[in-house]
Amino acid sequence: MSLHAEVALQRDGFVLDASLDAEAGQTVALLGPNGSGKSTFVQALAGLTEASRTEVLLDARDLSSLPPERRPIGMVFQDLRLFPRLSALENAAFPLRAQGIGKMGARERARALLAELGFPAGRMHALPTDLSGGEAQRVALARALIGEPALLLLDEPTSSLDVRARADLRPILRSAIASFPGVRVLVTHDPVEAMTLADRLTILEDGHVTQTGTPAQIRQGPRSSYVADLVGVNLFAGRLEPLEEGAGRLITDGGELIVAWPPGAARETTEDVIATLRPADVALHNARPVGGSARNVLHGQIDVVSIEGERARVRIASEPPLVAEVTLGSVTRLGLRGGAEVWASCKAVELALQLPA
Amino acid sequence: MTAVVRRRLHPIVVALAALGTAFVAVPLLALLVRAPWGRAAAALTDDGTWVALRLSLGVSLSAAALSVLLGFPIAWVLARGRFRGRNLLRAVVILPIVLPPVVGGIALLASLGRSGMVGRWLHDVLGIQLPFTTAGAVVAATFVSIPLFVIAAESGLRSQDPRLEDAALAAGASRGYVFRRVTLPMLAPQLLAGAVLAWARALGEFGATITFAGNLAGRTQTLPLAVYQARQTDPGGAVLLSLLLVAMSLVVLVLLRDRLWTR
Amino acid sequence: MRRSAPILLLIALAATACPLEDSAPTTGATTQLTVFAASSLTAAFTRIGRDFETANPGTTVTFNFGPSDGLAGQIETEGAADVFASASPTWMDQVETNPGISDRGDFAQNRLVIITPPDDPGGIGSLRDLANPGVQLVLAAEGVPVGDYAREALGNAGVAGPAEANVVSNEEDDASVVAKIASGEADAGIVYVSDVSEQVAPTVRTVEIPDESNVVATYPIAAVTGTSNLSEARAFVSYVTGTQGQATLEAYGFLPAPAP
Repeated sequence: MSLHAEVALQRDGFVLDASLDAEAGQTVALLGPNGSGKSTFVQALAGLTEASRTEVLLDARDLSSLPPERRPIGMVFQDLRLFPRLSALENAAFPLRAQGIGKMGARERARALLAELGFPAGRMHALPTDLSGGEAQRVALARALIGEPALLLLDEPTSSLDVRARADLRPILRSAIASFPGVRVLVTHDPVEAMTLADRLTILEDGHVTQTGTPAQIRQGPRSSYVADLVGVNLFAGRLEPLEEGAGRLITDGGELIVAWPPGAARETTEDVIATLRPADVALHNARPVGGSARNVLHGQIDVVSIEGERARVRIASEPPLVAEVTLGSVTRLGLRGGAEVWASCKAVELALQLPA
Repeated sequence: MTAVVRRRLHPIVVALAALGTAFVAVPLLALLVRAPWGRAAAALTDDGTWVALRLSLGVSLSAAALSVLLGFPIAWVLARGRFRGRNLLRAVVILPIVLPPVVGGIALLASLGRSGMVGRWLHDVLGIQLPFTTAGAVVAATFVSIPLFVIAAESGLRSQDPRLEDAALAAGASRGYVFRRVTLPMLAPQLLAGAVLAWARALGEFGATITFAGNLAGRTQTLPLAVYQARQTDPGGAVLLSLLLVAMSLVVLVLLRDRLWTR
Repeated sequence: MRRSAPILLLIALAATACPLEDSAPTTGATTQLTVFAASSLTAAFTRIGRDFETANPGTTVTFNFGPSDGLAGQIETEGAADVFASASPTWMDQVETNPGISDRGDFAQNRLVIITPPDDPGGIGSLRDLANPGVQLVLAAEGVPVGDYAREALGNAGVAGPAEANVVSNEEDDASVVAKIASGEADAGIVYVSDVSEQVAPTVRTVEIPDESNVVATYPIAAVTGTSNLSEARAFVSYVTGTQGQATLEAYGFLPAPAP
């Protein structure tokens, strides 16, 4: 079973035009910054939002003409939306009861499923207002899974939890999702969650898909600054011009870099070229380095130094701006701190290029 | 589960509130004091009293039920509908609250009386007459109490969260099921409060009843009309009957507690 | 609600203001005269009031019209009336007992008449027809003079029981009975001859009640004891029983006062 979904709509000046593909037994994460349209996309999949064009093809079946209650979906909402006057057990059993399944049978299955998800047995009859964040999340998950839907939609399932609850819930979420046989779409803005739970990522920025791929592919070849930031690399985009033998010049809005010409590529000016540079490949100096092999020597003020364990990430306002990663020792030795002048260098070959398709 | 932060009430506010309460409470207390308690037993067991009481209960409960049946769809349309003239519709439906009840009675005569706009047809074609009948008393009471129910119901519907209904739909519930198991339970306290208010208003209805339905013991003479007739010839009896009305209303309103004002 | 209630409040307020301007010889301040009169006197007395004010500059006459039984009750509990004009001796007798009256005199008489809607849906030709099954009869409530008189008349015609069974509503006063008939709601009603005024006549059809069954209502008027405007009250009573008052009453359909 496979899902192919396309949604196009316009609302208050915001344009959403995106598509998503997934296979059964696969988790696709819809990842993007806040306001990129992820929730809207998923709500359109569920049929809860009007769109000018929707196509929701589950295998050959087009769900887009069906009202939400007839779509074979289970959904977990960002704000949970548990029914306030029903107990936890009744909430979980709700989809079965709505189908006409008898009270006893529905409650039995709900009880079993809640137990599987780690919901404490003694709290089955508590009302949603009395549940903790983690407990409520489990109930919401149970309610989405119990009807054995073909498509599981999870809209930021952990974003309302605190760090501890999130850590508690993640393994449960992981196993529940893993054992779910249908298609799973996970909406999240947390890259760690996406990377750990998803098999494929679809990156949604400002209403449009900028990249899709496995977490590894994304990590290796980010195609937008958002993703680059996500995976912690420097990203430059611009026009590539041939320089001398084996080298080229990448002209970006923020500055220029000398790069090694990609082997096998035609030696002509090319637009929309992306180059990534690992922060660890950037060397920092107190004074202009001379006589080295690094073709790129940049200079600027340090914006911020963030210590992460034994390493430090140094953001420099050079042209173009750079993030360098150095040891804690280097920070002390070089006297690196905000406002200080510093020189940064990297070799042409250290920049990995991605030519347009 | 939010704890209410108790703050001390300002003494001046309390004093003013006490004054306002006295304005309402003192006349009621005066009734208690003025009542000829010696005759109370006799008056309460009097046939006439029971006839009026039974009639009042029957008419007011019927009027409340009608108000709910007719008023709920109106409240739904007002809360969920999106059309021009919605405010006008609301104003028209709530008008009977503002109108003097006698004016309501006159309007009812003009429309449903024997020679009224609609009443003429009812009488000539269907042989139905509303004035001078108990049904007429119910119509008059309903006319003045519908607005109270509509106000409560619309307010309840508006404070509903459509996102919960979305969640129910996504969980596979049909619209009918959503209404029954999600919307209505959340709405119930406010609907109940609205129905009780409508009932209380219907119970005390006088002007429209006496103008439209007339005044005849056993058929249209509800307790308020009986009080009115008694007060000229038997003021003590009138006070006792009044207290009966007050007691009934008080019990129900106390049972209502604060349901109208909390979610 | 009761249309006299708000007026009563005003009168009560006005009456409490009176003591400030009383017993001392009037220094040009206006006297407020409060007259409680039976509903059936509304049109006639309003006119008389205006004439009296013209004849007695410095005096304003305020009326409280209502059923005589109700008015008597109010006078008993609230006071506040300077003059009382009743549609039956019974209620004047009650006020005479408490709080007391003076200068009592009968000033008019009235007779009853049957009224029906112009198209006469009930087919009413006489008092006896009012006993026909299915007739919808409207009377004033018992205790209201015209209500008591009507029942007396029906008794005179020998149809008291069956006609009483036809009563569909006991109205507050004669004006309410007229209203129900004029609007076509009921088949018949019994009111005073004087109620069928110039304005009312086109809206109803009348059926005469023969003398042998008819009831003559005697209207007494008196000044109420405890009034702070005794001389003006007396003057009003005299006016009503005098030539001008009598002429006005006759013009409004009343029969002359009985010979003393």
